[in-house]
Amino acid sequence: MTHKSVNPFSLGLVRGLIGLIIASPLGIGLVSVLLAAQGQEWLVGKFWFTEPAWVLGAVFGSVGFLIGVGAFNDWVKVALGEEVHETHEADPSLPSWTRYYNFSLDHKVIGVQYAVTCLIMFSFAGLFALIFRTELIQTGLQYMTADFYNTMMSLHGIVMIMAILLGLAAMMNYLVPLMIGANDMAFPRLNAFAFWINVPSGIALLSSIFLGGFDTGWVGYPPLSVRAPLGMQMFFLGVYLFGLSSILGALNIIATIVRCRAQGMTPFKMPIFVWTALATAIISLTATQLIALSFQMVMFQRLLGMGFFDPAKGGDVILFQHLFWFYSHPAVYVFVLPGLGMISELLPVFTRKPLFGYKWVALSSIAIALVGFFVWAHHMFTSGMQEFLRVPFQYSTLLVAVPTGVKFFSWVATLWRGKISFETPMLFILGAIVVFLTGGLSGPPNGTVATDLHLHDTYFIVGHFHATMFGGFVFPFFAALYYWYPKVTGRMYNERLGQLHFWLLLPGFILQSFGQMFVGLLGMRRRIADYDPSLNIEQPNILVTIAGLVIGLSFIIFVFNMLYSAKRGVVSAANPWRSRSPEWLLPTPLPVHNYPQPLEVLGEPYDYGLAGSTYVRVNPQSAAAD
Amino acid sequence: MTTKAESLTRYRHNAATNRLGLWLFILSDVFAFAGILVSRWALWGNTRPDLNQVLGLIVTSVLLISSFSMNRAEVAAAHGDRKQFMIFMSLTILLGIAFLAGVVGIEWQESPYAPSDNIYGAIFYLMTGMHAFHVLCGVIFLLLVLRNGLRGLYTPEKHWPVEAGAIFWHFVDVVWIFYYPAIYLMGNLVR
Amino acid sequence: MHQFDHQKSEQYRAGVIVFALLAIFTAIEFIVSQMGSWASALQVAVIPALIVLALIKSFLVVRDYMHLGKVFYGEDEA
Repeated sequence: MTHKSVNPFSLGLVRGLIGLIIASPLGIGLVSVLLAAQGQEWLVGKFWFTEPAWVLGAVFGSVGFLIGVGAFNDWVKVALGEEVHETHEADPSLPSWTRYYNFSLDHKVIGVQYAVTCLIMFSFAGLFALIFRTELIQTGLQYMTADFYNTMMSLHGIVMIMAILLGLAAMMNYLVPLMIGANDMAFPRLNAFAFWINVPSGIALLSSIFLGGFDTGWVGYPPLSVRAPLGMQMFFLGVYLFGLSSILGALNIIATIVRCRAQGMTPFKMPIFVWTALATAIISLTATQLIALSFQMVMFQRLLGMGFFDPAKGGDVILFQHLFWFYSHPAVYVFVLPGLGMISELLPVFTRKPLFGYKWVALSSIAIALVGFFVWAHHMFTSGMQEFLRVPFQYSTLLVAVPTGVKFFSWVATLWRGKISFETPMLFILGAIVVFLTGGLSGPPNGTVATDLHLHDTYFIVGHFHATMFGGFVFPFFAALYYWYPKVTGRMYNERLGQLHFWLLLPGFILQSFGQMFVGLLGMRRRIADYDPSLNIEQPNILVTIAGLVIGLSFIIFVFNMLYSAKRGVVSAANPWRSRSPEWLLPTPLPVHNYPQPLEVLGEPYDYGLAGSTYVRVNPQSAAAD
Repeated sequence: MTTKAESLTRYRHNAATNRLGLWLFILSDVFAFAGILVSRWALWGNTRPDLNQVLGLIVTSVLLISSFSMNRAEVAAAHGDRKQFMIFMSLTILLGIAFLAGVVGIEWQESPYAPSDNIYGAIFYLMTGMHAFHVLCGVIFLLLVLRNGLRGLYTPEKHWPVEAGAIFWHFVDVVWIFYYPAIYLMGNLVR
Repeated sequence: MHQFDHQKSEQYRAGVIVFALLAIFTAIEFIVSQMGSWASALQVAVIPALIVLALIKSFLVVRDYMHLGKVFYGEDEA
């Protein structure tokens, strides 16, 4: 594959890892020496292994990684008043694949970096799920300890969330500038920084397995998280870092959408996906600070003994839940909104019909984002918070169904009498609608206080949550990966394998999700390594585990398809889906600075099937000349 | 001549994008500070710790004056008045350092609580610490701006870094406008 | 050139006025906070008054020192 040998030190990733390996012991040593200098007696015998030392070691390591990658080079120059180029050109002496391992400023490269990192983290998280699902086939503990189960279960949650955020960033980074006719993101350096910070974050998260793990689930509630082993701190730090990535990425997306649109690309002529990206970015930009704050407070409580959540010192554990859910509920809208936008984006292409109610769909995303800020306490109906909060939060929660319903009606009306064709992306879009519907309909029972008191912390929630995540993110993300695969690689994926992937994933998932809801209704608790044999739910649990294995198998087929087709796939036509979106009018591979000539916007984005209508024109000579 | 005009247009366009980016960052940061403020109300309620009132008023005044001198420095930069820019920029930085000395150097040592004593210590150190961290970042930023300003890198047309430093510095002041009464003035004294 | 100098002194003066207002409001804040100890009936008004004062002060800084308007209207961008 590599005809020319490449010096490994020319790869940013390698330099970054070296930076991490050098800097982490420095941090650990520094804190150890400082603590020893204070003459702490408890230090004897664990000089090198104290918790503050490892936390600062991880912080140093992350910074060392970023220095090694070269994330700060240009910023240091700017700070010292030197000129920097507005864009980087890749080093021509290196083969082009090295761009993906370096600090590249090209949003298309960064989009691919995000997508690949997403799939790697996704595989880890899926593997963790299969490991602990296997334990649940029978009652009693067969092959793992309760602590290991808890660590696997917690890591499945948080690594999956990280993978979802990476996947969203992949779609938004790759597509938003192309769709609005921009040549890159508003802040390319910030964009690259926001990607690379995810690597130390992922390393911190996964390292928690070796540092004692943690048993709180992904929510990290105190007081349990105050007592958990050192792995807890790595979890907090990892979340902190990818939260920072999420904030900076969101900032960049908003600035790009506001400042970098092509002439004539008025708000209501933007592709619908851009609207959902904007809505998502509004939430990530602001609410993420609150989860960072809540985790930071627990970190401080562990490191410095500050008693925010310690009742003995006057603290309040409910406060943590308020701060935490203020982000973590809107976060689920962060996870699903771009996916819902993807459904609206691709349906018209495969039905050859205009999107029904464009403006309503566009504004419904913003509405979901705004209502999403006022529903967080529905996670806390049983927490012991003030009771008068319950009913207002019940109603605000049910209000979310209104803008979501707008989207569903639009999808159904767009499908109505369309000339539907069933290529793999369309199958995943239809699957997404079905699965998200089951997720949506299982939501209100959790949102109304009376039913939630029964369902809280059962597997019913797990089933509901997985249905919304698969319908709102996983299925649309796969659709997007298949749909834009020819644009990214220039080759077509294997259609037969794609169909096989779908027809394994959909029934597998529905079985898993309904099975989880079923055992939940019968009384199985979530986040616990064992269940009561008298519940008689071993058989459904076996089915859920088998369904999980089928999902894993389908994912392996998908990965094989992606890798195989990149080498052996049929060379794709210029615009295989007959899309009207501007990126398909550009040559493949895409030019470095997308649009050599400014994009011209002539009509409406989704007038498929209307004779003589055009959306955009890319100046043909200059596009061909590049 | 046209290239100069073009370069200016490009600079203004980039500055406007950067300005939006900075404000979005501030909006994001506001949520972090607001979260801490909410925690203060959740944990302290209608009470406050017994802190040195005179010192509180002094550091507040110091920060307020620094905001004024920052404004002065920015106007001077916008009109190419290098001498005024240098004087007031240095003054701002010195006042910033004085603020840090007052809060971290004196107030933290004098405070009746350690961070681990109870929620009064915890919230007090969280609020002042988070704010002092931002002041420290602002001071470093302003030092760089001063250094580059002395090397003549800013002109009346092109001085976005000065403006950015000013906006951030005033933001830090705005945070203290809310934090000062929340820490020092609101609620009943706890003994 | 004369016009330019005029603009400059104008902006300097605006900065002074805003600073004076901020100083006055801060003094009022400090006095208001002592109100509760004069008469217990006034105690309920202390916190709302302090919140209103903080909002006024922050409004002044955001509008006149941070120039929030520039984000929306730009500075005579071509």
